[in-house]
Amino acid sequence: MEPLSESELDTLKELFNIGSARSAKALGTMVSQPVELTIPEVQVVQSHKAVENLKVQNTGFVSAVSQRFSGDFNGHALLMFNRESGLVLVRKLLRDSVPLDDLTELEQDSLVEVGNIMLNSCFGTVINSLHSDIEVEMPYFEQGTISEIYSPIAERDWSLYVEMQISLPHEDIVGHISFVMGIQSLQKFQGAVKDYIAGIHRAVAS
Amino acid sequence: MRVLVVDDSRLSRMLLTKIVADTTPDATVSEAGSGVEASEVTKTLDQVDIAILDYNMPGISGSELFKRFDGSLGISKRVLLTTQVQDSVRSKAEAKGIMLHIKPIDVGVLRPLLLGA
Repeated sequence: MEPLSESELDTLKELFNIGSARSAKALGTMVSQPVELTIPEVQVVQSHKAVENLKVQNTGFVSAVSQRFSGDFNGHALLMFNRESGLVLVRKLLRDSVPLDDLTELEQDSLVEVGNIMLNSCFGTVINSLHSDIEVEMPYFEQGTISEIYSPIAERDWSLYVEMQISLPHEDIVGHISFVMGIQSLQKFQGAVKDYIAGIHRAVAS
Repeated sequence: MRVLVVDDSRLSRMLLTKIVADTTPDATVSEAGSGVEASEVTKTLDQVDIAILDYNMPGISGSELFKRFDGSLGISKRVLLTTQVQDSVRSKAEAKGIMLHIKPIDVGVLRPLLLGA
Protein backbone atom coordinates (compact mmCIF):
# COMPACT_ATOMS: atom_id res chain seq x y z
CA MET A 1 0.00 0.00 0.00
CA GLU A 2 1.25 3.47 -0.89
CA PRO A 3 1.96 5.31 2.37
CA LEU A 4 -0.13 8.41 3.01
CA SER A 5 1.80 11.57 2.16
CA GLU A 6 2.45 14.30 4.69
CA SER A 7 -0.21 16.42 2.98
CA GLU A 8 -2.78 13.59 3.14
CA LEU A 9 -2.09 12.95 6.84
CA ASP A 10 -2.25 16.68 7.56
CA THR A 11 -5.60 16.88 5.75
CA LEU A 12 -6.93 13.89 7.68
CA LYS A 13 -5.80 15.42 10.97
CA GLU A 14 -7.65 18.62 10.06
CA LEU A 15 -10.81 16.72 9.08
CA PHE A 16 -10.71 14.72 12.31
CA ASN A 17 -10.20 17.94 14.26
CA ILE A 18 -13.34 19.35 12.64
CA GLY A 19 -15.16 16.10 13.45
CA SER A 20 -13.85 16.12 17.00
CA ALA A 21 -15.24 19.63 17.53
CA ARG A 22 -18.66 18.18 16.81
CA SER A 23 -17.95 15.27 19.18
CA ALA A 24 -16.83 17.71 21.88
CA LYS A 25 -20.03 19.72 21.50
CA ALA A 26 -22.10 16.53 21.77
CA LEU A 27 -20.20 15.32 24.84
CA GLY A 28 -20.38 18.79 26.40
CA THR A 29 -24.18 18.74 26.02
CA MET A 30 -24.29 15.36 27.75
CA VAL A 31 -22.12 16.34 30.72
CA SER A 32 -23.42 19.95 30.86
CA GLN A 33 -19.86 21.21 30.99
CA PRO A 34 -17.42 22.59 28.44
CA VAL A 35 -15.42 19.81 26.83
CA GLU A 36 -12.28 20.25 24.79
CA LEU A 37 -11.30 17.49 22.44
CA THR A 38 -8.00 17.54 20.59
CA ILE A 39 -6.46 15.18 18.07
CA PRO A 40 -2.70 15.25 18.58
CA GLU A 41 -1.97 12.42 16.17
CA VAL A 42 -3.39 10.60 13.18
CA GLN A 43 -1.54 7.61 11.75
CA VAL A 44 -2.22 4.94 9.19
CA VAL A 45 -0.41 1.82 10.30
CA GLN A 46 -0.74 -1.92 10.07
CA SER A 47 -2.98 -3.07 12.88
CA HIS A 48 -0.28 -4.96 14.75
CA LYS A 49 1.62 -1.66 14.99
CA ALA A 50 -1.53 0.08 16.27
CA VAL A 51 -1.85 -2.63 18.92
CA GLU A 52 1.76 -2.01 20.01
CA ASN A 53 1.11 1.75 20.28
CA LEU A 54 -2.10 1.22 22.22
CA LYS A 55 -0.47 -1.28 24.60
CA VAL A 56 2.08 1.35 25.64
CA GLN A 57 -0.68 3.70 26.75
CA ASN A 58 -3.18 1.14 28.00
CA THR A 59 -1.49 -1.45 30.16
CA GLY A 60 -4.59 -2.73 31.93
CA PHE A 61 -8.17 -3.43 30.97
CA VAL A 62 -9.77 -1.31 28.30
CA SER A 63 -13.44 -0.43 27.79
CA ALA A 64 -14.27 -0.29 24.11
CA VAL A 65 -17.24 0.54 21.92
CA SER A 66 -17.15 -1.02 18.49
CA GLN A 67 -19.26 -0.47 15.37
CA ARG A 68 -19.05 -2.10 11.96
CA PHE A 69 -19.46 0.16 8.96
CA SER A 70 -19.95 -0.61 5.29
CA GLY A 71 -20.54 1.23 2.04
CA ASP A 72 -17.83 3.18 0.25
CA PHE A 73 -15.48 1.84 2.92
CA ASN A 74 -15.86 -1.29 5.04
CA GLY A 75 -14.43 -1.83 8.48
CA HIS A 76 -14.71 -1.42 12.21
CA ALA A 77 -14.72 1.77 14.26
CA LEU A 78 -13.41 1.45 17.81
CA LEU A 79 -13.46 3.93 20.67
CA MET A 80 -11.26 2.85 23.57
CA PHE A 81 -10.67 4.16 27.08
CA ASN A 82 -8.67 2.61 29.85
CA ARG A 83 -11.10 1.31 32.47
CA GLU A 84 -10.45 4.15 34.95
CA SER A 85 -10.95 6.87 32.34
CA GLY A 86 -14.16 5.22 31.22
CA LEU A 87 -15.50 5.27 34.77
CA VAL A 88 -14.51 8.92 35.24
CA LEU A 89 -16.45 9.76 32.09
CA VAL A 90 -19.48 7.75 33.20
CA ARG A 91 -19.52 9.55 36.57
CA LYS A 92 -19.42 12.88 34.76
CA LEU A 93 -22.29 11.79 32.53
CA LEU A 94 -24.40 10.72 35.47
CA ARG A 95 -23.42 13.86 37.38
CA ASP A 96 -22.25 11.78 40.38
CA SER A 97 -25.92 11.08 41.08
CA VAL A 98 -25.65 7.33 40.93
CA PRO A 99 -24.35 5.31 43.90
CA LEU A 100 -21.02 3.62 43.27
CA ASP A 101 -22.61 0.17 43.51
CA ASP A 102 -24.94 0.94 40.59
CA LEU A 103 -22.19 2.44 38.47
CA THR A 104 -20.98 -0.81 36.96
CA GLU A 105 -24.46 -1.61 35.70
CA LEU A 106 -24.66 1.74 33.95
CA GLU A 107 -21.04 1.80 32.80
CA GLN A 108 -21.64 -0.35 29.74
CA ASP A 109 -24.86 1.38 28.68
CA SER A 110 -23.39 4.84 29.13
CA LEU A 111 -20.15 4.15 27.29
CA VAL A 112 -22.01 2.54 24.39
CA GLU A 113 -24.15 5.66 24.01
CA VAL A 114 -21.14 7.98 24.31
CA GLY A 115 -19.18 5.84 21.86
CA ASN A 116 -22.09 5.75 19.43
CA ILE A 117 -22.44 9.53 19.51
CA MET A 118 -18.71 10.30 19.39
CA LEU A 119 -17.78 7.80 16.67
CA ASN A 120 -20.65 8.89 14.47
CA SER A 121 -20.17 12.61 14.96
CA CYS A 122 -16.42 12.38 14.37
CA PHE A 123 -16.25 9.87 11.50
CA GLY A 124 -19.56 11.06 10.02
CA THR A 125 -18.14 14.56 9.65
CA VAL A 126 -15.04 13.18 7.92
CA ILE A 127 -17.19 11.04 5.62
CA ASN A 128 -19.36 14.06 4.72
CA SER A 129 -16.25 16.09 3.87
CA LEU A 130 -15.01 13.29 1.60
CA HIS A 131 -18.45 13.16 -0.14
CA SER A 132 -18.68 9.49 0.73
CA ASP A 133 -21.38 7.28 2.17
CA ILE A 134 -21.30 4.53 4.78
CA GLU A 135 -23.87 2.67 6.84
CA VAL A 136 -23.10 2.14 10.50
CA GLU A 137 -24.36 -0.85 12.48
CA MET A 138 -25.45 -0.94 16.12
CA PRO A 139 -22.63 -0.38 18.61
CA TYR A 140 -21.47 -3.03 21.04
CA PHE A 141 -19.38 -2.95 24.19
CA GLU A 142 -16.29 -4.97 25.03
CA GLN A 143 -13.90 -5.05 27.93
CA GLY A 144 -10.49 -6.69 27.97
CA THR A 145 -6.86 -6.10 27.13
CA ILE A 146 -5.97 -4.26 23.93
CA SER A 147 -4.93 -7.56 22.32
CA GLU A 148 -8.20 -9.26 23.26
CA ILE A 149 -10.27 -6.44 21.79
CA TYR A 150 -8.22 -5.48 18.78
CA SER A 151 -6.56 -8.59 17.44
CA PRO A 152 -9.64 -10.67 16.52
CA ILE A 153 -10.97 -7.99 14.15
CA ALA A 154 -7.77 -6.50 12.87
CA GLU A 155 -4.98 -9.01 12.69
CA ARG A 156 -4.17 -8.59 9.01
CA ASP A 157 -5.79 -5.23 8.40
CA TRP A 158 -4.71 -1.64 8.53
CA SER A 159 -5.72 0.96 11.08
CA LEU A 160 -6.46 4.62 10.73
CA TYR A 161 -5.43 5.35 14.26
CA VAL A 162 -6.42 8.58 16.00
CA GLU A 163 -5.29 9.65 19.44
CA MET A 164 -7.83 11.82 21.19
CA GLN A 165 -7.46 13.90 24.32
CA ILE A 166 -10.65 14.85 26.13
CA SER A 167 -10.39 17.69 28.61
CA LEU A 168 -13.23 18.16 31.06
CA PRO A 169 -13.12 20.69 33.90
CA HIS A 170 -10.80 19.14 36.51
CA GLU A 171 -10.35 15.94 34.51
CA ASP A 172 -8.22 14.93 31.54
CA ILE A 173 -9.12 11.73 29.78
CA VAL A 174 -7.20 10.09 26.98
CA GLY A 175 -9.07 7.92 24.54
CA HIS A 176 -8.23 6.34 21.24
CA ILE A 177 -10.25 5.91 18.10
CA SER A 178 -9.31 3.40 15.44
CA PHE A 179 -10.92 2.79 12.09
CA VAL A 180 -9.81 -0.66 11.05
CA MET A 181 -10.08 -1.35 7.34
CA GLY A 182 -8.84 -3.90 4.86
CA ILE A 183 -6.29 -2.71 2.35
CA GLN A 184 -8.84 -2.22 -0.46
CA SER A 185 -11.06 0.01 1.69
CA LEU A 186 -8.09 1.94 2.96
CA GLN A 187 -6.83 2.54 -0.59
CA LYS A 188 -10.29 3.78 -1.55
CA PHE A 189 -10.30 6.00 1.54
CA GLN A 190 -6.88 7.35 0.54
CA GLY A 191 -8.27 8.02 -2.94
CA ALA A 192 -11.14 10.01 -1.41
CA VAL A 193 -8.64 12.08 0.60
CA LYS A 194 -6.60 12.75 -2.58
CA ASP A 195 -9.80 13.86 -4.38
CA TYR A 196 -10.65 16.14 -1.46
CA ILE A 197 -7.19 17.78 -1.60
CA ALA A 198 -7.39 18.12 -5.40
CA GLY A 199 -10.80 19.78 -4.99
CA ILE A 200 -9.34 22.31 -2.58
CA HIS A 201 -6.44 23.04 -4.96
CA ARG A 202 -8.91 23.60 -7.81
CA ALA A 203 -11.02 25.89 -5.63
CA VAL A 204 -7.97 27.91 -4.60
CA ALA A 205 -6.69 28.16 -8.22
CA SER A 206 -10.02 29.32 -9.66
CA MET B 1 -48.84 16.55 29.64
CA ARG B 2 -47.66 13.04 28.77
CA VAL B 3 -44.21 12.49 27.20
CA LEU B 4 -43.14 9.14 25.78
CA VAL B 5 -39.40 8.41 25.65
CA VAL B 6 -38.25 5.29 23.80
CA ASP B 7 -34.52 4.62 23.56
CA ASP B 8 -32.46 1.48 24.08
CA SER B 9 -29.87 3.54 25.97
CA ARG B 10 -30.73 4.02 29.63
CA LEU B 11 -28.33 6.97 29.76
CA SER B 12 -30.15 8.65 26.89
CA ARG B 13 -33.52 8.09 28.59
CA MET B 14 -32.14 9.55 31.83
CA LEU B 15 -30.81 12.66 30.04
CA LEU B 16 -34.08 13.19 28.14
CA THR B 17 -36.20 12.67 31.25
CA LYS B 18 -34.11 15.24 33.10
CA ILE B 19 -34.65 17.83 30.35
CA VAL B 20 -38.40 17.18 30.46
CA ALA B 21 -38.47 17.41 34.28
CA ASP B 22 -36.43 20.63 34.30
CA THR B 23 -38.54 22.25 31.56
CA THR B 24 -42.04 21.03 32.38
CA PRO B 25 -42.10 19.69 35.96
CA ASP B 26 -45.79 18.77 35.69
CA ALA B 27 -45.24 16.47 32.73
CA THR B 28 -45.45 12.70 33.18
CA VAL B 29 -42.80 10.69 31.38
CA SER B 30 -43.40 7.12 30.21
CA GLU B 31 -40.21 5.29 29.29
CA ALA B 32 -39.43 2.22 27.23
CA GLY B 33 -36.13 0.60 26.25
CA SER B 34 -37.35 -0.96 22.99
CA GLY B 35 -40.18 -0.91 20.49
CA VAL B 36 -41.70 -4.04 22.02
CA GLU B 37 -41.61 -2.51 25.50
CA ALA B 38 -43.08 0.72 24.10
CA SER B 39 -46.02 -1.22 22.65
CA GLU B 40 -46.69 -2.64 26.13
CA VAL B 41 -46.26 0.69 27.93
CA THR B 42 -48.59 2.54 25.56
CA LYS B 43 -51.40 -0.02 25.96
CA THR B 44 -52.31 1.74 29.19
CA LEU B 45 -52.13 5.25 27.71
CA ASP B 46 -54.93 7.15 25.97
CA GLN B 47 -52.93 10.17 24.92
CA VAL B 48 -49.27 11.08 24.31
CA ASP B 49 -48.48 14.73 23.72
CA ILE B 50 -44.85 14.38 22.71
CA ALA B 51 -43.08 11.19 21.65
CA ILE B 52 -39.27 11.19 21.59
CA LEU B 53 -37.93 8.08 19.89
CA ASP B 54 -34.49 6.78 19.01
CA TYR B 55 -34.18 6.10 15.28
CA ASN B 56 -31.61 3.30 15.54
CA MET B 57 -32.84 0.72 18.02
CA PRO B 58 -32.38 -3.04 17.82
CA GLY B 59 -35.56 -4.71 16.57
CA ILE B 60 -38.17 -2.06 15.85
CA SER B 61 -36.68 1.26 14.72
CA GLY B 62 -38.06 4.60 15.87
CA SER B 63 -39.57 5.38 12.47
CA GLU B 64 -41.28 1.96 12.33
CA LEU B 65 -42.63 2.55 15.82
CA PHE B 66 -44.12 5.88 14.76
CA LYS B 67 -45.87 4.06 11.88
CA ARG B 68 -47.33 1.56 14.37
CA PHE B 69 -48.59 4.42 16.55
CA ASP B 70 -50.32 6.05 13.58
CA GLY B 71 -53.97 6.69 14.35
CA SER B 72 -53.60 5.89 18.03
CA LEU B 73 -52.39 7.85 21.07
CA GLY B 74 -53.06 11.21 19.34
CA ILE B 75 -49.38 12.11 19.38
CA SER B 76 -49.13 15.80 18.53
CA LYS B 77 -45.33 16.19 18.41
CA ARG B 78 -42.87 13.62 17.13
CA VAL B 79 -39.13 13.76 17.73
CA LEU B 80 -36.83 11.20 16.16
CA LEU B 81 -33.23 11.11 17.40
CA THR B 82 -30.15 9.67 15.73
CA THR B 83 -26.40 9.57 16.29
CA GLN B 84 -25.74 9.54 12.55
CA VAL B 85 -24.58 12.92 11.29
CA GLN B 86 -24.01 11.85 7.69
CA ASP B 87 -25.73 14.02 5.08
CA SER B 88 -26.81 10.88 3.19
CA VAL B 89 -28.65 9.51 6.26
CA ARG B 90 -30.50 12.78 6.75
CA SER B 91 -31.39 13.02 3.03
CA LYS B 92 -32.77 9.46 2.95
CA ALA B 93 -34.84 10.15 6.08
CA GLU B 94 -36.14 13.47 4.76
CA ALA B 95 -37.15 11.74 1.51
CA LYS B 96 -39.42 9.55 3.66
CA GLY B 97 -40.78 12.62 5.44
CA ILE B 98 -38.78 11.98 8.62
CA MET B 99 -37.10 14.90 10.34
CA LEU B 100 -34.11 13.68 12.34
CA HIS B 101 -32.47 15.42 15.28
CA ILE B 102 -28.85 14.65 16.08
CA LYS B 103 -28.12 13.16 19.50
CA PRO B 104 -27.76 14.45 22.11
CA ILE B 105 -30.64 16.79 21.37
CA ASP B 106 -29.97 20.36 22.33
CA VAL B 107 -32.10 21.63 25.20
CA GLY B 108 -32.78 24.72 23.09
CA VAL B 109 -34.44 22.51 20.45
CA LEU B 110 -36.49 20.38 22.82
CA ARG B 111 -37.62 23.11 25.23
CA PRO B 112 -39.88 25.01 22.76
CA LEU B 113 -41.50 21.72 21.74
CA LEU B 114 -42.22 20.89 25.39
CA LEU B 115 -43.44 24.35 26.29
CA GLY B 116 -45.65 24.56 23.22
CA ALA B 117 -47.30 21.20 23.74
